[in-house]
Amino acid sequence: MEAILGVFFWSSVIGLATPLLLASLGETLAQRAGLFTIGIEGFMLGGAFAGVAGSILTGNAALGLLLALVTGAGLGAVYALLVVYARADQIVVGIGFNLVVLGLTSLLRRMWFPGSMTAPDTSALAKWPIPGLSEIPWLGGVLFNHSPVVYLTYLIVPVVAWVLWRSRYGLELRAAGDGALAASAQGVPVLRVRFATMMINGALAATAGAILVLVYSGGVFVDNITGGRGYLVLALTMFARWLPWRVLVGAIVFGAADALQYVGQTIVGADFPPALFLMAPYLLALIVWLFMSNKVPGPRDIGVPLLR
Amino acid sequence: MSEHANAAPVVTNGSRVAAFLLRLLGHSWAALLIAFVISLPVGLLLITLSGADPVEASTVAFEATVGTVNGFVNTLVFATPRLFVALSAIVALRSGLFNLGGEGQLQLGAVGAVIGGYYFGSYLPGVLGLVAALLGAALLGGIWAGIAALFKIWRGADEMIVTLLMNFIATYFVLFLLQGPMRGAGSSYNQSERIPEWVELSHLFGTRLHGGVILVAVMVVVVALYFSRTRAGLAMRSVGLNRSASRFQGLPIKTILVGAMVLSGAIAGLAGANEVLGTQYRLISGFSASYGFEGLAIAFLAGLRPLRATVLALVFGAIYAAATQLQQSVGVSASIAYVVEGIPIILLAAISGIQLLVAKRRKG
Repeated sequence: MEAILGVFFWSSVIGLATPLLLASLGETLAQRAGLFTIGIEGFMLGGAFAGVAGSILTGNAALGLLLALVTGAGLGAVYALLVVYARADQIVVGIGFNLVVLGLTSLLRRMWFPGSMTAPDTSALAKWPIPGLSEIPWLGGVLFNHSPVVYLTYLIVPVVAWVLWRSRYGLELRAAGDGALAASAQGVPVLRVRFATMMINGALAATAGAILVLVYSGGVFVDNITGGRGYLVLALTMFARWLPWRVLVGAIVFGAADALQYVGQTIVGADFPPALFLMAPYLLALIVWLFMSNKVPGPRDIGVPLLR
Repeated sequence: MSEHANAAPVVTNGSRVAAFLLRLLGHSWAALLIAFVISLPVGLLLITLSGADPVEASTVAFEATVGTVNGFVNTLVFATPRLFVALSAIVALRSGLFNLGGEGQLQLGAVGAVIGGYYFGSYLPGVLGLVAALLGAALLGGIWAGIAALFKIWRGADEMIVTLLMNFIATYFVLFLLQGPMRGAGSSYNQSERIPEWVELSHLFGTRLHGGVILVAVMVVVVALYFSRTRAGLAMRSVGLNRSASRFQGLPIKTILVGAMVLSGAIAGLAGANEVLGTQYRLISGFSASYGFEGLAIAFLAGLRPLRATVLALVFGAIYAAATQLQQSVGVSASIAYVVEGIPIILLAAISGIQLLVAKRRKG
């Protein structure tokens, strides 16, 4: 019981929720614009690779993260050319895209970084306890003793909410996903809005992938390191019904399921099968998906190309 | 992929080349060919970049696929599980169900094959063990997929997300089984006991080729005939094409949806059985690289036609056979197969998207 109430567990929850949260915020924008991104798995994997590669090349993990962001925007642009402008089927492209990214990252890893691919120095992303606040008992350790990228990610939640409901771009984005034909007839540049949104989605997801590796996996890239987290992001986005604050809650719930891997053994005993902890986030996602009320209507044009 | 988009008049002088290309691409076989022809040089480029001699690599790839008997056998062996999954996807998609769960269903199928083939098969004489293994695989694969269909009916849960999530649940469930209850005695790997020899899918012509290839060929014919010649197949297609019209026709929609999903899962389960009974003789953690998604991609590319899927599965099998041989003899990572398979998928999706756009523009 002590383990599950302890600072370590809850701090891990907040931390491990970060990559899921960041990627799901991007996917929320994308789905609201009518883009269903199976390829988010590929964005995350590509970002994880670019993040570590950049860290190795520059010696600085923060620059690695930046490279991941740029790579993600680039991947997003390519993806958008296919699904937005070429009107390619979003599911098919996603499946092909994920295969290509999986193949390329594995190939390039062997080609450029034979042996192990490890970021030499991740201190730029190390914990930054916030002076004062981090000294609050329990709460300080849980909330205010994290890598700066964690604080930034949580600060992006209100930004995304503001963009969605208070900015012109957000209005156009929601129109592009919910009645694209009408929006287009009204003069909303649906294709351009979708293109930009996919670039943002790619950038955020790739950064999330890089955070996963650089902050939470010791900076070591192995083949297929994201291992399906992208699909978890898709599920999370959908049952958060495309609302940023619900994405936040969902990400924390999954962060908790994830963190169980680290403290679970001490709670239920060492002979509890570890595979079941690995299964936990996906099982949880399925259960939540089944018992959630789906009354909030979603964007009507998810996955539908604009044809006019 | 529309078959009928090729009755196209040339639009303007300037776009003659583009129109020609599109007319060419309107024919799906040409589109397929072009997509793969573009993908191959990319593969060769990657091989060259990773420091191997492209000429030598091409020779190796040729010999590893169609140049030698062994190569051709490998191609067939690698094509088999992918074709099973493709058929599974065809059944689901034709019925209007987005089953992205082929991976999970084949994992469960492999478990079923071990249960039927080892735990029962060890006590069953002769071919009965093999029958038990295949039934076990189809049963577990079918049940696993059927669960997703029930969720859809009971809770209205979108089958795409449910099956995606169930893939991971299945994969970790298999890991759990192999780390615990089903782990082979004295094994240091995450693998089950070996199935008895008489349960194996027997080898053909003294090569690696095994009975799975016959099984999958039979399934191709069965699926093709099922949809073109049987009442049940017609009902599934009707539900897939227009669910509400089918309801007014008095078709039992729910039963048909569950039936289609179970059938789809059972066929995917056979893909798992094929690996356990034909190539590895035991259940090994992580035995399926990505058959699930590759099979799905094949189904899409084939326009949901079983015969066309057979050809594409052979192509994918050849790519994989070449990649594994390249890894062994030239030292290029076999991951290159994913790239060479993924590019045509993306290109074809883009081509059919553009066709859609052009058709729409032409109609005004």
